[in-house]
Amino acid sequence: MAERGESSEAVMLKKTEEEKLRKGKMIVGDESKAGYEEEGKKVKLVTSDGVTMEVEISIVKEMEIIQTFIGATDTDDSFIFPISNVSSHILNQIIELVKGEYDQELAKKLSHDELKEILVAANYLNMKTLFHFIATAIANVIQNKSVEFVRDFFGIVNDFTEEEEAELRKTNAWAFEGVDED
Amino acid sequence: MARRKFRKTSRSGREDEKDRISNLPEAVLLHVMNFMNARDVVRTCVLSKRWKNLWKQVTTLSFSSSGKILFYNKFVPQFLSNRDASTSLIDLDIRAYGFKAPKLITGIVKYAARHNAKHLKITTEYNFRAIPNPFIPLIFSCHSLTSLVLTTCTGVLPLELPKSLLLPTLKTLHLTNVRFAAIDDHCVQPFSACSVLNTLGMEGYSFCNNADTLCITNSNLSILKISNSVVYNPYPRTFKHKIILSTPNLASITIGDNIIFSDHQLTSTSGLPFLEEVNVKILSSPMDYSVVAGWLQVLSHAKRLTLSFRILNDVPNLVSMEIQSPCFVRLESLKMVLVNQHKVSEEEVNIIVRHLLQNSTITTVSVCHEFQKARSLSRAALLK
Repeated sequence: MAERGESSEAVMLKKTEEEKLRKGKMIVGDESKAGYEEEGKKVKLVTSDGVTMEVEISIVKEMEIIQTFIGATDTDDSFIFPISNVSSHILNQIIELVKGEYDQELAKKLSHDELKEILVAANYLNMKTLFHFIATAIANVIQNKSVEFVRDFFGIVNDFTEEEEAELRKTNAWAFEGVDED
Repeated sequence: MARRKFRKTSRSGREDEKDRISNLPEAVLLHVMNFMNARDVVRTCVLSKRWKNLWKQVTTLSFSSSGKILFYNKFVPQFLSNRDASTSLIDLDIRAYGFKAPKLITGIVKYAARHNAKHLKITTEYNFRAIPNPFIPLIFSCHSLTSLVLTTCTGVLPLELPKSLLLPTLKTLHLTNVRFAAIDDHCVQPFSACSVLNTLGMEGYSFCNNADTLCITNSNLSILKISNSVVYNPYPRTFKHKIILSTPNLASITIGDNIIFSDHQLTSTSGLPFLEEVNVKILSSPMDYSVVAGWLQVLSHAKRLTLSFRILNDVPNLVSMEIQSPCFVRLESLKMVLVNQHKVSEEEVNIIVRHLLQNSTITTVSVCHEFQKARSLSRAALLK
């Protein structure tokens, strides 16, 4: 296990590892109960833009929202799961990230909009490892950036008056002073 | 579904995008903030009214005081007193350097102990031998702690830890450049009270005074990683250290190397019946093959063995040296990683494989160079 200098990534790696360990155990438990577990099996997902995509079961397994469905229904190959909050483009990105074993280098290639869309999707699909991964990636992008940059990144409308914002900076001066804006 | 309906009525794609993000539940925004450094976390308060008090519920504290110790000396007490006291502070990653660091860390650990801290990571530089370390005893009052990472920067004296680490909830422990008070003239046994410890990593540890034996005694321990990076070490190279493993449930061991580590004697009291995975890495300085063979005899219950090395001494003379072969009765795979392929001949690889597998029935060995994909060789091809 590589010890990284950057705290957030190190924490992330650790969490991913723990997650995998935990999952590993869970899967062993699941296999004995449910019979849907088959190597190489694919699940059909319909994305928000109406595209039907066949996704490997190993990836679908990480989507807890679909696991709930699979658990509740008797599935056969014809069963199709709608994921109304995720576009085919974002689902493809997610598949790449999972296959790439959540390498932060892959996240660097994503646009800001893609990062946010994946965050929304990870939350919706309840993919815990992806959620940690993408939160770390976003934190890395907005870390050390100006307030304006972060507002723009999240699409936040500043609803403070100038006076309110100045007052807030004054009362929390301990967090703002002596810091280089970059 | 409500969100979907809302999306249809929004006027443009861009606005739609903004809606989706600003509609994110606070838990999601907090999750992102948990991966940011503490200074940036607090600075989100001026983003908008929604964000004004959000930071107070963040459950992490992460910062590095490198070059900013004066700032963090003021910042940290304010951060702790202004955050929402009813919210746990779960993850702490503190890198504090310089002579003000012990006081700063002490304040944080005191707070953490009262706020359900689970993961504590402290990196420090502590150059003052005479000053007792105030935060070490406080760590043992964190009764919710499940993982602890303690690092003293290399190049300074190791952080001194007590005889026994009373951390009954701890599952993961990583220590770098620390040493322990001895229980008697020659032995340290720090881990026996960590009753649920699963993973232990030690890097660059030193012993204390005349203690020459490190007893790793723990009935629960499953994963052990031990190595010695180049750090302050008061002992002459000829000093013989001993490591005794009393870890009946150990499943995985990684042994890294260093100059003084080559002198270590490794023994085990339990035979390590559940050992699955053994990784031996001889990466920094050359080491005698006989030393490695000695370790492997102790670790002979392994199912998977990976031996990574740059240079191993004495391999060509192995035949005449009569070193006992490890008795790998359960071995399923052997992987050799050659870090410096030009320094190791194929003949040497063959000699090592022949020696290691004398008492084993496995048929394939994988040999690879660092950064390359492993090629599997049949044992017969290697042994011809």
